[in-house]
Amino acid sequence: MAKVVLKNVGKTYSGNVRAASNVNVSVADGEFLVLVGPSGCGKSTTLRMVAGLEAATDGTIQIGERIVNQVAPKDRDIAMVFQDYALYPHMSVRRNLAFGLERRKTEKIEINRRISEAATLLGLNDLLDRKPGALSGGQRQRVALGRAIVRDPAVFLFDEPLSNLDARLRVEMRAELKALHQRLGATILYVTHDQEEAMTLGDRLLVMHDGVVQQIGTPDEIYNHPANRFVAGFLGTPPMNLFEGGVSGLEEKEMMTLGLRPDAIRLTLNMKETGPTAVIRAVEFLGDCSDLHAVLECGATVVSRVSGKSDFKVGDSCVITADMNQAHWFAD
Amino acid sequence: MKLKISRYAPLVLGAMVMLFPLWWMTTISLETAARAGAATAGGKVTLWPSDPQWSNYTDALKEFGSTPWVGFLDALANSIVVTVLVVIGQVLSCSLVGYAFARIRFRGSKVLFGLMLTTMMLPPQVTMIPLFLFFRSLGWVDTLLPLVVPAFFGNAFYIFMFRQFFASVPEALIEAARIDGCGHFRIWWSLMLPMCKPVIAICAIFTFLFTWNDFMGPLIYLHSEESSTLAVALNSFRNQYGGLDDVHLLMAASIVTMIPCVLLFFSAQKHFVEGLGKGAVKG
Ligand SMILES: Nc1ncnc2c1ncn2[C@@H]1O[C@H](COP(=O)(O)OP(=O)(O)O)[C@@H](O)[C@H]1O
Ligand SMILES: [Mg+2]
Repeated sequence: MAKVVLKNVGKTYSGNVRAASNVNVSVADGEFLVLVGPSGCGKSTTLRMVAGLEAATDGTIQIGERIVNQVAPKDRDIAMVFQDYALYPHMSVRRNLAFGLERRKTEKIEINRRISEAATLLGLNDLLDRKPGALSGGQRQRVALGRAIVRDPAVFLFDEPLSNLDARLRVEMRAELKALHQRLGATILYVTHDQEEAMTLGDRLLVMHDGVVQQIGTPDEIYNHPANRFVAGFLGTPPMNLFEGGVSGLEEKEMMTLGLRPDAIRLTLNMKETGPTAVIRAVEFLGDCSDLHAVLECGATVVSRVSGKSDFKVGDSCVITADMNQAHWFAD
Repeated sequence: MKLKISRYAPLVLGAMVMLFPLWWMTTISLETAARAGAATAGGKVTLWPSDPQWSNYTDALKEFGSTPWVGFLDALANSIVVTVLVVIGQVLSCSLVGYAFARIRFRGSKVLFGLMLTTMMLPPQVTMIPLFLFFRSLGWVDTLLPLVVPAFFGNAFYIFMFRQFFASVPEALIEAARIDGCGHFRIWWSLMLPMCKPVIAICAIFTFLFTWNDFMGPLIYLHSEESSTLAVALNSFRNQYGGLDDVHLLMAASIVTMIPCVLLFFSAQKHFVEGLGKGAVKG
């Protein structure tokens, strides 16, 4: 296991495509860091630079005590799990697991020991002699995971490994990954565009947007103290309500953005309450809670989350009140 | 039922037309010398040998060259050696070059690929004489080398076919192999070749058929009787017997020569059809 340190790392693809700029992050030994952001923000590029599949155009990448910018992927002591699993289709599961070790001249006995260990850990024992084509998506993902585990690398790199699984399996695998991380004590860099996955998996999150790091912090920090509007809007479902404009009564906070999470907003049918009025446009019942979408007079939409089933109906007029203790202010 | 008949009738008719020369060849190969001569000279078509002369086949193989049996065995051995080596050379070189064009980004790769494709437009007759002079200056005339060695330098069409296949392999697979510790040669050998068996099959089958039946190459480069291949030896057969006097033996020898191709076709029929379809789609 090892730490990973990125210093001012950047990548410009041919044709002047700037995919990542000035990425600075230090991943501690045994930490689970999730790189999260919308599609195309440069997460994969950053991960692939750590893997050595893309050369960094700026900055230094350090794995353990070694600067690895000039080191080939196979010598970086990393293992990578890909979105499409990337299993060798003509090899049995056993050969898939063994292949990387054979290339590293690991002894036969040791290879077999590691394979049976990983197979037991991941429940692959009955599948070892099958070809990847004869496995389900979840099983393939497990094999891809096994291929990384048998290598016993210093750092695990995951690029959207759960994206191809159906929703239920994804949640299951998420829990398994978390347990696996605790068990192996491995350093993990994990890329996903799914903020829920990021929140549940990561010890810390690195939020990216347009190739630039927006914030690095624990899920709690990122959720409760978003550094800017982008982070505030990206994490949480439904997203935070953002109101732009001049704010009266707070001299130094003129022209700012006010952010309120849906559960900090209350709607009431009692028109005597003070506050802006709005009309309910949609009511979404989600089982344990309901989301109310209301349109303000100025045309802006507000989403409020209330627990249980709501009595509001589409077309109702209501007054909006907010718990200002939960307000976020953004200057950008 | 009606539908079936209307569908099969043209097929059967077509097959009969296509198979007729083969059938006639077989018939003549089993006739006596006199009847075979008459049939070919007078154009009288017999569809069934009246008195099958099975000894024609042993005679034909025995009389293949100037020494009984040796001529045939020499030619057979030469054909096998040339064909096997050419098939191996073609598959290895074309897949390797195809891999490079598909998967390695290097300066000028597009230009080189285009240049290579233009060699497909070049009729072989154009290069025949310069090539002959070149191989003669190497002292390779009357050896199997001029037939075998070029195969190890690839063929534009098969390179193109391999490249198309390799270009469709997901990038992540290659990246996984790189992380697992493979260089380009290892990726080609352990990953790409096993994955492209259908393409290898097509390349191998067509190369086999072409090389086995090739007449021009061996005729140009192989001068002595010991070094000739079956296709050329058949030709000398005819001359030796003066025109078409012993046409029944020529037919028997031709049929024997054809056997490997027929066997190959039946055993590889599936690949043939599949592969041609594949080529058509990927184009
Ligand atoms: N090989 C490449 N060549 C040129 N541009 C690329 C290449 N790979 C990615 N990009 C561009 O870099 C940006 C970031 O891509 P990527 O890191 O894959 O994003 P993400 O994984 O966050 O979705 C995108 O705009 C993408 O189009
Ligand atoms: Mg990506």
